[in-house]
Parts: sequence; C-alpha cells; structure tokens
Amino acid sequence: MTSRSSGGTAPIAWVRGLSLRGTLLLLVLVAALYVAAGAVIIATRIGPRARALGEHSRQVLAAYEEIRARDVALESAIVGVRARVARRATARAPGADRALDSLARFIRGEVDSAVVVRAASDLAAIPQAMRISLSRAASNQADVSVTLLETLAMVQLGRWDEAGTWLARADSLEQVAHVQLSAAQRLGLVDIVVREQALGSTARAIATATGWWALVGLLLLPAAALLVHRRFYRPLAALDGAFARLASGDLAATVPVSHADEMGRLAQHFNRMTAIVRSRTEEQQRQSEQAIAASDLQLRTVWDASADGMRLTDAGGTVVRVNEALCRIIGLPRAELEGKPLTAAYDPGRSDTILQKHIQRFRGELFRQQYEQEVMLWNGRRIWLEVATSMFESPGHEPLLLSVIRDVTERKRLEEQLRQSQKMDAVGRLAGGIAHDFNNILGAIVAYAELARGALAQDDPVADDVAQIEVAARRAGDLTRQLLAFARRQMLELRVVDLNALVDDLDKMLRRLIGETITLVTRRSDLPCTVKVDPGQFEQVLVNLVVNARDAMPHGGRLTIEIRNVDLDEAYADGRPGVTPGPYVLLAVSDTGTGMTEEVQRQIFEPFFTTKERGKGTGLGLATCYGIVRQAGGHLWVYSEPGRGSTFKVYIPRSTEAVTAPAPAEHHGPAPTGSETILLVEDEAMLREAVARSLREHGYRVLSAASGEEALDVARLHAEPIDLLVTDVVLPVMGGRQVADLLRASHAGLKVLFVSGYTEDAVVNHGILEAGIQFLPKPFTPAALARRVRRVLAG
Amino acid sequence: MATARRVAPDQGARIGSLNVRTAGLIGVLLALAGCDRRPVAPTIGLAYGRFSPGVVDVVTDELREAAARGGPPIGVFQPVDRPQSDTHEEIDRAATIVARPGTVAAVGHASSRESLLAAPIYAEAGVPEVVPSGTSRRLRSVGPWTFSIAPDDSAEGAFIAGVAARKLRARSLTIFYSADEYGTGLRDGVVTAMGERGMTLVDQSPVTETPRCEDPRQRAGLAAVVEASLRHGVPDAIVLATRTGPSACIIRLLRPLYPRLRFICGDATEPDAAFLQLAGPAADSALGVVFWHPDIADSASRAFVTRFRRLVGREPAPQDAMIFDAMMLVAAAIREGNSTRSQVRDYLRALGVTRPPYQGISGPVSFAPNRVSRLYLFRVAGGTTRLEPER
Repeated sequence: MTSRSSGGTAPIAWVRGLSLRGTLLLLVLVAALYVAAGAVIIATRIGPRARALGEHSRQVLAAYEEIRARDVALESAIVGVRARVARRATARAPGADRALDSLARFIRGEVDSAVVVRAASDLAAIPQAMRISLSRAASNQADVSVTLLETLAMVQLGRWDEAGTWLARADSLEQVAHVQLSAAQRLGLVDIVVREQALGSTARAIATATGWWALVGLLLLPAAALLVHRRFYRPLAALDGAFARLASGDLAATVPVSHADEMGRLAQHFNRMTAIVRSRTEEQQRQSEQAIAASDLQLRTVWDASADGMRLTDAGGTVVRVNEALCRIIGLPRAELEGKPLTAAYDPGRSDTILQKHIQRFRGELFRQQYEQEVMLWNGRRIWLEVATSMFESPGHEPLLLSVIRDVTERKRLEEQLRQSQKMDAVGRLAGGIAHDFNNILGAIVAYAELARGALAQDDPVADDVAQIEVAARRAGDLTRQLLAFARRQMLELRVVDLNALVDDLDKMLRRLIGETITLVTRRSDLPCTVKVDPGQFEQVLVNLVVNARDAMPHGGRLTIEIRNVDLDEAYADGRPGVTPGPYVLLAVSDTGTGMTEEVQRQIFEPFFTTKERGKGTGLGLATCYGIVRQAGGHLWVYSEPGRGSTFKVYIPRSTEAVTAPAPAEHHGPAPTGSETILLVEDEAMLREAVARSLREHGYRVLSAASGEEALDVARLHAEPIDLLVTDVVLPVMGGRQVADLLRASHAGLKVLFVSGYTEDAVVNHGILEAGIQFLPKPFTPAALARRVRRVLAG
Repeated sequence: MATARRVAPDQGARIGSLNVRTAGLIGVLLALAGCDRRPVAPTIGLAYGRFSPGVVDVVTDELREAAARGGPPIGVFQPVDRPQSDTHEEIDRAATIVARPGTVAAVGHASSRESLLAAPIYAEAGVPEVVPSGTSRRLRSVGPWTFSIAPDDSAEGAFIAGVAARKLRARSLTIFYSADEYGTGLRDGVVTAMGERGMTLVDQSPVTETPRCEDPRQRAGLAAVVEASLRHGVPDAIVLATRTGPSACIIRLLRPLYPRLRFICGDATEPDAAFLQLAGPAADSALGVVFWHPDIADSASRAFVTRFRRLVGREPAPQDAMIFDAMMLVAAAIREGNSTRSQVRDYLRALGVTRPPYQGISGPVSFAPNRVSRLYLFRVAGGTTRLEPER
C-alpha cells in the first residue's frame, strides 16, 4: 500500500490499523456517543429549561398563591374588624369575646406566615424583581396584620376612634400590599413569558441542532456502513469465496490481506494454510508421480524383464501391449503383435476359436483363469503354453485382459520324461517283485530237474524231457535276470574298466552279430574312458544296443560306436531329471536305420515294448539296457527321427580309479561234497525241500527251518555244532540277516550264505554286496549251491 | 442600581466618614480602575446598607497592618445605597457584591430577614454569606453557603427562658415580638424553652416599629397592643423580641404601670445610647441579651475596644464585634491561601469539623451542628449598660 504522508490520511491509517475488536468498539462507541450526545444535548439544553420553567412556574404560582391567599385572608380579617368597629360592640373581658380572640389568633397566624422568608431553593426559581415584589407584599401584609392586631386591641380597649383610624391605615397598607401583589403577579407572568420564549427558542434551537445532528448521523451512517463493508463484509466475502474455491478443490485460492486486524490475520492464516496445503499437495502429487513413475518403471522393468510373456488385449481382441518375453515365445517382433489382432500370433486355422474364447473370457463366461494349452503358432510350431489371465482395470481406461503366458513346452517334455522314468521305476519294482517269487519257483524247478536228471540213466527217454525242463527253467531264469536288470535289481560285480578295451574285446563278436550288410564303425577315445561297472552287465548293454541297431537296419547300413569322455554341465543337467553334472564317459551307438517316431521313443525303454514282429523280440532288450545303465549311475538317451536313424547315448560316470583285473573264472567241475552240518532257512517249502535234498545228496547234514524263529529253535535244540547257515534273506517276521546275527552270537564260527531272488534287501544295497557277505542269487542249481557252500565252508 | 466603592486598606478608616455621593463616585472610579488586567485581590463584600458600621474602619486597619506584615492584600467592598433597608435594596446589594470581581465572601446582612432574602443570590453565585448577628434558625438551612456566627434563636430563646426562670424567678411570661423573622424566631425559641421549663405563656403579640414613642398618636397602636395583652394577665416578666425602638417604648409604657414587672430584651435591643434615651429611667428594669459586650475583660476584646475607640471615636456595639469577627474570619481564610470562593466555602465549612474553630473576640466561631455559643446578659444601671451574671 502506498504510504500517504498527508495529515488527512492519518485518521484513515489509524482506522486501518485498528483491530476488528477495536473497530467494533469504535463503532459502538461512536454510535453510543452519537445517541448520547443527542440525548445530552436535548437533556441539557431543553430538559433543564423545561423543568426550570415548570418548577419556576410552580414556585412562582405557589409563592403568589400563598401571598394572594394571605391577602384574601387579610381582606377578610379587615372586613371582620371593620364590622366590629362599625358595631362598636362593648368590649368584654379578655377571653370572653371568642370571636375577637379568634380573629386575633388568625391575624397573628397571618403575621407568622407573612414574615417567613421562603427558602433559597424556593426563591431561586422566582425572578429577582418578583421576589422583591413578593417580599414587599409579604412585608406589607405583616404590617397590615400588625395594624389589624393593634386595631383589635383598640377595639378591645373600646377606643373606637383610634380603631377607625388604625383600620383605615390597615386598609391603606392592604392596598399597598395589593399593589405589590399585582406587581409581583405581573412580573411573574412576564417572567414566565420570557422563560417560555426562551424555552421556545431553545426548543427551536434544539430542533435545528437535532436536524443537524441527524444530518451528521446520516453522514456518519455511510461512513459506518463503508467501514463495516470494508472491515467486515468485504473480508468475509473474500474469505467466503476463498473457502468456496478451496472447497471446490482450488488450492490456489487466496484472500487479499487488506488490514492488519483479526480479519487480516484470518486471511493470512487462510493464505498460509492454503499455501501449506498446496505445497503438501504438490509434494504429494510429485511424490505420487514419482511413485507412479517408479512403479511404472518397475512395472515396465518387470514387464520387460519377465521371463513370462505378458499381453494386454482389449475387449475386441486387439493386442494393446506385449513384452519381449512374449515376442520370444511367439517368435514375432513387438511391432507385429501390438495393435494387431490376438490371432495374428497363432495358426490362422484356429483364429475363430481363439478369438471366441478371448471374448468369452473377457465377458467372464470362462471361469478358468489359469490353464495350459497346446497351440500352433503362426509358423506352425506347436508349443505348450501356460496362461494365467486377469482383468486389468484402471480408472479412466477401458478394461483390458492381462495374459501371463509361459512357454512350458520344455517343462512338458521333462514332465513326460519324469513320468516315463517314474513309470519305468514302477515297472521295475513290479518286475523285481515278480522275479523274486519267480526265482523261488524256478529254483525249485531247476533243483528238482537236476535231481531228476541225476536219478535217470543217460539213455532214459525221460532224461531228454528233464533236460528240456532244465533248458526252459534256465530260459525263464534268464528272463527273470533281464527283468531284474531292467529293474536294476540284479547283482553287480563292479569293476573299473576302460570302455575302449571293453568294446575292443567285443568287436569280433559284435561284427558277427550285425552281419555283413551293416558296417560297424568304432570310434574309440584316445584317452582312457574308465568307468566302474559290472563288465558282464555292460557287455549286455552294448550287445543289446547293437542288436537293436541291427534290427533297425534290415537292409543294411552303418552302425557307429563312439566312446569318449565328456563333461556334463549344469545346462545339460537342468533339462534332464536325475542327471548330475560331472565327468562322464559317453558310449554312443548310432545307426542309419528306420528311425523312430516320438511316440515310439517315449515307450522304447518300456519292458515288453517292441516294434518287431511277434516272436522276434522279447521287448526286454532296451529295457534291460536302461536298467543296467541306471543301476550303474548313468543315463541312456535316444535321439531319433523316422527315416534318419537313431542314436543311443549312454553316459556312465567316469571313474578316476585304476582299471581292475577281472576275477578268475569259477571252476565248473563236479560239485564238491562235504559232511558239515548246514542249517537251511527257507520259507518256500518246495524250494526248502529241494535245496535240503540236494545238500544232503552232496554229503551234508541239513537242518531245515521255515522261518527265523524256527531256525533259532532248531539251532538251540541241535546239540552238535552247526557249520553253515544257508538262509533266505527275505523271511517273514525275522529276516535272514537278523537270524544270522543271532545265531552267530550263539554259535561261534558259524558261516553264513545268504540266498535271495531279490537283490534289494538287507544284505544287498542297489545290487552291491556288503563286504564279507556271501550271497547266492536265486535261482541256482544244486551244483552251483554245492560249489558255493563248499567255498564258503572252505573260506 | 447600587454603586460600589473599593475600600483600599489605607482608605478604609475614612470611608465611614464620606458621604454617599462621594463614596459612590469613588467607588465608580475605583471600579473602572479595577478593570485592568491585574490580578484582583480577594475581596470581602460587606452587605450593610442601612448604616455604615464603624467597625469597617477597624477591619481595614487590621487588614492593612496584616498586609504590612507580609500578609496577602485583602479588599473590602461595601455597596453604598440608601440608608433605609428595603427588600429590593438587600437583594440588589447582594447582587452587586456577587458581581464584584475578587469577591470571595460576603459579610451581612444586618438582620435575619435581610440575610435570608439575600441568601439565594449568594447561593446562586457560590459566594459564602457570613451572617454576623442574624439569629434565625432558618439561616442554617436557607442555603448551602450561608454561615451564621451568632447563636440561633433557639439558643437565645433557651438563654432568655433560663435567665427568666433562674435570675428573675419568673414562672409566667408574655412575649412581644417584631413581625419579622427575628421576632417570630426568637418568640418560638423562648416558647419552646418555656415549655421545657414548665413556664406559662400569658400572651404573645407582634408589635410594629414605633419611630417616635414619645408621641402618643404614633405609639397608640403599640400601646393598645401592650395594654390589651396585659388584660390577659400580668406575667412575671416580659420578653421583648423586638428591636431597640419598640423595646424601649414598651418598657417606658409599662414600667410606670407595673413597677415590679421585669423585661428581658433580645439581642436586637442594642444596649446603646438610643435605647437608654428612649427607655429613660425605666431602662433599669430591663435585662438584655448580647453576643459580645465591651465589658468583656479578655485581652482580645480589650484590644478591640481600644482600637475601636481610637479609630471610630465611640464605644463598640455588640454588632460591631460580630461584624469584626465575621470579616476577620474571612480574612483568616484568605490568609491561609484560600483565594477563591470555593476555597473560602470549604474553609468555613470545615470550621469546628475538620479544623479548629476560629477564635474571635465574641468567642470561638464554629459552624458545626453542635457548636457552643456564647451569650451574655447586660443590665442598665446608672445610665449605662453593664454585664450581668446569668444567675
């Protein structure tokens, strides 16, 4: 505000500097002063004069009336005295003339009243000239009264002449009093008139002053209204408008601060408040924008960095946005997807179906929001997609469908592999279980057949039949061993071998096996490819793979055997369940045969699965390979395409140990005999009987028991020493291992031979015998048993 | 319109001897001279127009001496008019006094009636009116600024009744009184005191002034009233609440008829030569009431008498002493720094209340409601008046 130095602005500045309360007080004070001043003017100017006039008139009238009444009374007294004088009544004794005495008392009373001077306060209102006239009249009345009393005294004394003279004097004095009284009356009237004129003049002056005063009030009224308007209404209106703007969300609303009073401070507070709110709002908005930007950045980062494909599509099926992952999955750049129909990524043949499902999903008609489906892409590639959908809604925008898409083709494949592996395990366990019981049966068949053949003459026609039984039993035994091999339940005799050498040893046999139409190519490694395997088992694997390749090339071809060291890394292991990264030896057998479909590949390792003609294969070859390789800690994979041949890759963990020499071959001469006491524990009665019989035929004393408990009882009851315990590993209630432990405790030096048709038991762990354990797998021949018993007893 | 004169301290002694015309001329000249702008000295208005009391010379002499001793100058202003007292004259005199610049108080008037008549004038102007010898009890209530030095008629009436009862052994009294405030007031005071003492009022009657008692025609009225009154009965004593003339005339009339009859005069009967001359030998039968008497033996009175005789050339009357006390009372107020009317009023109002009474030659002056008044009894003996014991 521009400062004004002129003296005329000082009051304005002073008023502007007033507080609201001060302004209110000033207004009230001015109003009160205005009213009071008017009232005071009227009260002081006309009120006292009016009251004085009234009081004056009353006092003048009272004084005049008093003297006038006395004048009348004195006139009456004069008349009375005159009557007495005229009658010249004889004076009687004092007190006898009551009328005279009464008249005298009356006149004396008039004297008393006449001489009384009115009080100053009473006289104050009486004009001075009138006061003098009244006083003179009263004095004259007193003289009249005294003269009358003297006249009465003369009457009492009978001095009639003097009385007449005195009465005339009283009359004359009374006339003087009359004159004075008239003068006083006239003066009083004049004074009243003068005062009334003065009062009238005052009233007119008051009327004029009141008019001027009202004019002043009228002049003050706009000023007061202006003051109220400027100090109260205008700031309040400004505040009202500012609050209204604020209420409508306009944070820029401000109130002009025109005064330093309460309203000004209120406006300052409001402006400060709005500034703070505005600042905080802007700060919040900025933070919100930053948060949104950060969130958007995060979202975009997540969107772009996500390994899962993401896609936003509108209700019409138009792709609004995709991320890079989806582009990778679909195999199209972003520009080819965004803004394009959803169906552009897929095989045109299924566009209608895809679009229809999208619309249904957008409408909520499809309740499944997470699903897997196999789709054919625009380029004909089939992939498995795991899709999770959700509606993406944001204020002010049309709803979109967010699809999170994951390519699960590989996972599907792995799952299939796992499922296949689990199936193979299940089949293995089944096969193992069957083989166990089947071996017991075969054991009995083999034992009895051998016993029967031994009892027959060589030329006995039945001998051939018995020999056929033995052949069939052996073939059945082979079958069970293959099953056990597939089931990874057969006994292994592990040895560190170099696969190069092992292949070299089999080279001739393999060439004979594949025939001349097939070219065998062996690619050995220059480095030792040492693995710890059961050489016999591994030879079986190689033979089976070669035979399988040969059968795949009925018209000839090339069969390649490759041996080399490889290191499987994490990347390789990630996609293959059960594979542990590390050094391996690869044995790859490839052919140029007919190849296999994927369907065939998925079942190729299943037992009894074969694509060969009926009677040409058992369906156990590759299954056996699979089981042996897995039991050796390796992996077997097949790569094949129809018409392009197949490759079987066997990965065996590479061993760092030195190559061990092969065990000496067991002597297959006549079965040795003995005389020791053998405790036989076998729950299978037929086998127990056959085994016991064969052992007895070999000279041994045999104690039989059908269970562990029975074996303990037999051992306790047998007084003589027991040299050997031959026990089945798998027994009901008490296993063979526990029976052996108990009997060893009570029979020092007791030797033990475990027999079992099932390798996965207490003495065999994954086909590997514990140290010091003597074991004979079922089925076995009586001769094999006799040789093993002899060796155990000898050892 | 009354003229006025300014009484300078060195002129006061001769004012009393100037004729009215000369004094008026001097007053006009002095009034004109007083129209200058110099500060006006506090002035005491003297409201005695009927006569020019000789005590003024004593007062002015006293004021002059006081000024010479370093006291403040104090003026005395006395309007001069016709010697006759008249209502108009009293009021006009009071108006003249209050209009006088520097007037801080008025001393007067000569009687209760005149003082009462003038009281409104002084009340309006705020001028304290110090009444030296008025006895009407109404002086105490007539206005706020009227201060009466003399005892009121109640006190005087009680004194007279006491003298009648104790000294004269009177049991019955007849009262003759002037037909004015003084006479009626004293009459009432005496009657009230008689009632308290169980005395008998035989008769009471107003009497008029008798200019010449020796003339039978002029005294016929008075004589008739007195004679008729005594026909009601002869009292033990007669109280004369009248002025010197009627008192002397009544005593002269009745003394031969009733030799044993004794008279008690009120303070308006002045024990002066005129009384002795009018009453003649019968004056010996009279006792009188005064507020001061030259025979009072205290030093202040003796000094006043001496100074009065020296300056005025006669014996001071009680009225002179009362006027002297009234004027010196105001002068004392002025000397104490009270130079305005309100200050003098406050001073007077405080006397006997918050400040000690003023010690005048007539005794302590106080305006307290319970003030004690001094009254003296005189007797005429051997052609002179002497103080008489009350008992």
